[in-house]
Amino acid sequence: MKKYLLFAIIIINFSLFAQDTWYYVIQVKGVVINASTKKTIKAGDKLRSIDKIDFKDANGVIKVINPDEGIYNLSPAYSKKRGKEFQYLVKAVMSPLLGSTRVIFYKKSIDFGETVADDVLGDSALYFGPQELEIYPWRGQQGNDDKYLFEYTYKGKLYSDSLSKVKETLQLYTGLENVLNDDIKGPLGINAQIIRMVNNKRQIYRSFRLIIPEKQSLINEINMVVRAMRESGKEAEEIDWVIGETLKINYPNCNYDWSPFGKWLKENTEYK
Amino acid sequence: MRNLLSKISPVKLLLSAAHSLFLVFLTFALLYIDFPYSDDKLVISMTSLFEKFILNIDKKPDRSGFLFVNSSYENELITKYDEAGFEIGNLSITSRESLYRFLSRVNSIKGSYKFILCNVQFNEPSPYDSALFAEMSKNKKIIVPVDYNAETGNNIIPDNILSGYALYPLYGGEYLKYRLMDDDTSKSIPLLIYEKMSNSRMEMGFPVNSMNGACGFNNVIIDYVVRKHDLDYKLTDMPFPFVNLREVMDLPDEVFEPMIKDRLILIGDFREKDNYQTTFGDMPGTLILLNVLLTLENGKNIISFSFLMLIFLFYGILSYYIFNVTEQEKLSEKLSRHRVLKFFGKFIGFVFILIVFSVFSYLIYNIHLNVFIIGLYLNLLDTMIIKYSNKKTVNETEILK
Repeated sequence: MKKYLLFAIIIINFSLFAQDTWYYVIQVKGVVINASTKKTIKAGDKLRSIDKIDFKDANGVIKVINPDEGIYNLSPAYSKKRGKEFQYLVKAVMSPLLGSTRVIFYKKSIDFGETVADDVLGDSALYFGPQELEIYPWRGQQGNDDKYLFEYTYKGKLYSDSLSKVKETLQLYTGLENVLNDDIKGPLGINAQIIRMVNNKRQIYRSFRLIIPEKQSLINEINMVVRAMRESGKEAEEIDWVIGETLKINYPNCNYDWSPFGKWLKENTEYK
Repeated sequence: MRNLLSKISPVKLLLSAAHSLFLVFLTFALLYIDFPYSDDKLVISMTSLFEKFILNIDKKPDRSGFLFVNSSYENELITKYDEAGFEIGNLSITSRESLYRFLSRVNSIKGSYKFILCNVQFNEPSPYDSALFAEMSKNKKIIVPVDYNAETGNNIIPDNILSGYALYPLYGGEYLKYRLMDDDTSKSIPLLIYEKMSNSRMEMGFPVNSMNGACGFNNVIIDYVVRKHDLDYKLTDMPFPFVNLREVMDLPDEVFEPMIKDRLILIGDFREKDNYQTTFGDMPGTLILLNVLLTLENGKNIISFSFLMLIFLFYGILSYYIFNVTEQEKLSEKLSRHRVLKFFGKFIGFVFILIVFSVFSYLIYNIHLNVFIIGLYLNLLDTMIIKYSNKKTVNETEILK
C-alpha cells in the first residue's frame, strides 16, 4: 500500500513551531499513524507540532483543532500552498467591475437586436449554430431589394449561400451544418464574408473569421464548471457568467451570440 | 518673505479663518448624513485597497483573542404560521437548543470569556427559547441582535438581555461605513460591546457624537482588518480560530476552556446566507460587526485635535485662495469664451485637491471628506466671488469716469 508520509502538523504554521503547541483530534477517516509514537491516531488524541503523520491510505483524513487556529482537515492532499491574499483581494475588488462587465456581456447577447453587427461578429466569431444578425444601412440607404450572401472557404473550396432576411435581420449559418457534417475534432477557423448585392454589384458587408470550437473539450470543461458551482450552491446567474468567462478564456477575442450558445449548451452539456 | 507677508490681507485672512470653520462644520455635517455618495464610495474603496495592497498596512489583531463559531449548519425546523395564526409550513432557524447547550457550557466556566456576540436572529419563537434566554440572562457579557426598526421588527428578546441592532437596510451600495447609533436609546452591537468593554459611553450629537469627552463620528468608515479570507485555513497561513458550533460543543474541557478563555466569541452564519457586499468581496454580517468593533477599539472614529487643526489649516488655505481674487483671474474670467468648460475644469481641480487631502486624512485618521459636494460648493463660491469682483471693478471705473 502506498504510504503518504506527511509532516502535516509542522507545515500548518511555522510560527507555532513549538513542542507545546498541540492539536486535538476530533475525527479520523481511514488509517492514520502517528509516526513518532507508532500508534494509530484516533479521535481524542493530542498531536504535537513536531509529530509526523503517516497516512496509510490515500483517502485518509484527520480533523484536528487548535485553540489559536481553529479546525483543520489534514490529508495527503493537504498543502501548505496558499492563494495569496493579494490575489484574493484583487478578485474581490474586481468582482463588482466584472459584474458590470457581465451586465454588458448579457446585454450584448440577449438584446441582440439592439447591438451593432460589429459587436456580434467582430474579427472572429464563434459558431454554435444558426443565429441572427442585425443589419444596418451601409454606404447609403439600405434598399429593400438588397440581397445578402454568406461566403466561406472550407477545405479549399468556396461556398456561397444566400441569406434570408426578415426585415433588418439576417439569418446566419443556416446551411452551414450540412457542410460541416464531418467530425471536427479540434478548433477550426474559416474565413467568412457577408456580401451585400446592390444592383448586381458586390459589396463586402462583413469580413471575419468564423471559429468552430473544439466541442468535446469545451463540453467537458463546462460540465465540470456547472457541477462544481452547483455543488457549492451558486446561483444560475453566476453559473451563466462563469460559463461565459470559460468561453472567453478558451477563445479569447472571439465574439459570440448567447442565443445559439445557450441552445448549444442545453443540447450538449449539463447546463439547464 | 517680508514681501510675501505684506501681500497678505488681514481682512481676507480673518474671512478665510471664519470660512474654514464653516467648511469644517459642513464637512462634519455631510459625514453625519448617512447617504451613499458615489464619490465617497469610490474614494473610500480605492483608498482602502491602496492601503492594503500597495502600502501593505494591514495589521491583524491577535488571533488568540477571538473564537469564530459558525452556526450555518446547526439548524432546527419550527412551525411557521401566517399573520392570522394558521399553520402554513415550517421554517429553518438556528438551533436554539444547540445555542443553549453551548452557552450553558461557556457559562459554567465562570468569567472566562471577554464577550459573546451571538449574531443569530430571534424573530421567531422556538420551544427552547425560555431555557436559552435564561442562560443568556445569567451573564451580562452576551449581546444579541434586534431589528433596526423596533416598531416594525419582530423582537422576542427579553429586556434583561443586552441587545442592539446589527445591520440595517442600506439605500443602495455596501457597508463602507457603519452607523454606530440611531439615537441615545438605539445603539448598534459593536458600539454596545465597545462601551461595555471600555467602560465608555457615546452620546448622540450634531454634527458629531461625544464619547468620554472626545468627539467622534456616528458614521464610521469600517476598516476591514479581519476578512472572510482570514477564517479559512485553506486560504491563509494564519487563520483565525474558526469552528462549527456542533464541533466545538462536545470538546473535552481541556480543549474547550482554552478556546474560550479571554476571547471575544462571535457566533453567526459565516458560510451560507448572512453575507453582504463590501469592497473586499462578500463579508459575513458578523465579520462586519467585528470590524466595526475593531475600528472603534483603534479609535478610528475619534476626531483628534491634530486632525481638526490640519483640516482647519487646509480649508483656511483653500478659502484664502478663493477670497484672494487676483487681477489675472479677473481678466481671465472676462476674456473667457468657454465659461462652462472653465467652470468644470476648476471644479475638477478642486475635487482633485480634496481627494489628495481626503486620501491623506484617511490613511492617517480614517476620515474621508465628501469631495464632490465640497468641491462643487468651493467652485461655485470661487466663480461667484470672481464675478462679484469684476462687477465691483466695473462700478468703480464708472464712478471714476
